Amino acid sequence: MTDAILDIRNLTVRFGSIAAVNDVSLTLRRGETLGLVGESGSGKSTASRAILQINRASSGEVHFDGEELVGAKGARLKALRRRMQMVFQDPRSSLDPRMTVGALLEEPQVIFGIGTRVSRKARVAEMLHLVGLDPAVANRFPHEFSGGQAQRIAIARALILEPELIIADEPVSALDVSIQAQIINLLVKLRSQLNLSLLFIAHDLAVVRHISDRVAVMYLGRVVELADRDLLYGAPAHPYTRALLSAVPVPDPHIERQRQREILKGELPSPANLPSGCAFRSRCPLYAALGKPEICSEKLPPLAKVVPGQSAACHFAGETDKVAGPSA
Amino acid sequence: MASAITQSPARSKIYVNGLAVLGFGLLALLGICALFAPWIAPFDPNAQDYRAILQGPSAAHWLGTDHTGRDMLSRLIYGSRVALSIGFTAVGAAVLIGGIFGLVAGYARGIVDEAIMRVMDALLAFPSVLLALGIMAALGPGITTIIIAIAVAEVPMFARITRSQVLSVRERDFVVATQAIGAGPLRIIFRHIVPHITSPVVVMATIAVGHAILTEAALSFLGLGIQPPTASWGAMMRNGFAYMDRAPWLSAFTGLFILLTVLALNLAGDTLRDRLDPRGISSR
Repeated sequence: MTDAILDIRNLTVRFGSIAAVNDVSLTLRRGETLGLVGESGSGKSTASRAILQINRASSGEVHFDGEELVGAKGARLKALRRRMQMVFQDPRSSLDPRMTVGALLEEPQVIFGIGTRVSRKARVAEMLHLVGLDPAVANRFPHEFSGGQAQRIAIARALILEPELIIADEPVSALDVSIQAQIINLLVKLRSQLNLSLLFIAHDLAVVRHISDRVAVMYLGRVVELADRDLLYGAPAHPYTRALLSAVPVPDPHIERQRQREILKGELPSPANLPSGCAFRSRCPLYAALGKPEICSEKLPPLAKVVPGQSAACHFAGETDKVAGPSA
Repeated sequence: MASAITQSPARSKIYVNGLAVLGFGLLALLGICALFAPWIAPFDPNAQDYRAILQGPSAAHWLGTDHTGRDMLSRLIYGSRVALSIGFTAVGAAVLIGGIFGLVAGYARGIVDEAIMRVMDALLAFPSVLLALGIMAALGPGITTIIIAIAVAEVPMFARITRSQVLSVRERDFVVATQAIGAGPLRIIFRHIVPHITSPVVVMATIAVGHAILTEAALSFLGLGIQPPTASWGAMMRNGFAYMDRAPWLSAFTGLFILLTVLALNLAGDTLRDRLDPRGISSR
């Protein structure tokens, strides 16, 4: 029907008076990988849970392959859930510690009444093989595995029903750096093999770079920049994206030593008491460099196109170079 | 004190195992007594012998006789039947009913939770013996009433502990993950929540059996529980009480039986708590 597998429009999730996700609109095309980046508390996990209807949205719409998810219940929700799955941050807590790996992988098939006992077991073995594990591990318990192995199990569980969309909520943040690349490579391999669309959530830009086609950056519940990967990494339009990028170390000691970092001052404001206008202005180096223009405290900057393939929510999106100091 | 802290793990483990053996050993012994009372007891528990009234321990009557010449050991052995059956049935019923209330309240949350828990709080506000007394007074004495009375008094405790466990488990990632996979509430509750909350409930139940036995004894002591001539530890305590000056062993031996039973249940509860740690399970 459309080429958008996931279409999020003006999604807002409130907890009491706090909007954890505030007026977020994103589109994920079929086969595309969208990276979603932000600090803890920026609302990225809440957004992902609202997409899967684990947290209910306060307002807004989420369309999955053209079907409205918000408010979906019962059999219709169940049928839609089969087509989208989630991979969590910590595999050791997202796998029931009292179930064997085999039982964990069989469960989704049991829930949807797929196959016979024998065929389900065969499918489990097949999936374990696909994620690079020995099928003989099926009768072990999750706590007998390393973090990386456990995440492979969690991925196998998410993929066993052949979903079209995977939401990976910081799938590598809890893992050792040496294991992170393995898991990302596994996701890249499976993505093309199984023709998946992927919403990949992370808290730093370095992790997302390799895997994403486009990247969205969230700050305090709002998307502040959404751009094609190369545009975002090459010429970030929002001062927050710039600051995040400057926090990523460069793997060359000469450049790294001479590079001037943009370090954000101050703490993340309390979501219950956001600054007026642009929520980022309390920490924005551009706001300070431009002499605190009034518009920033008066008007919420909309997410607007800067160049084709790149939008940013900043009144001065084109002028990020005006921040003092030589940029890389 | 310092030596207790620096005690080697191996030694403390043996110590813990010793207590476990003691607890379960005593329980097994009591269980055998209760099951095989007719074969174990040396005398008919209700046979009166007016030639042997208020006798001290002797070769014929190991633990002496009461004011109608009944053999104390036989009565205590038969009494264990009453105590254990009341204890386990009452607590079993309380776990079942309280558990269901707790599961529903903890899973549904909101107004359902409020409604159930306020009723439970109201029940909890009464001291358990007082509540049981009221129920006994309303329904009349008898073994069924006493079981109902004790069960009703214990239900709120199990509802509370179950609810609190459900609330903490249902927020864990693996429950959310199972929800995301499309599992319905029944599967989530019985396959993913219940297995994680059984150990605290089982531990609590073991200790509650001891408490129930004490409550039964207290009610029978007050004359509201098991009616004579059925041998009940509480009623035997009361009988012995009247002859405290002439035959102190009547109350002493009965008290000792109650003490050992409750102690055994508490030790068993502690052991179960230590053993039911989920990290203990493994495929190997």
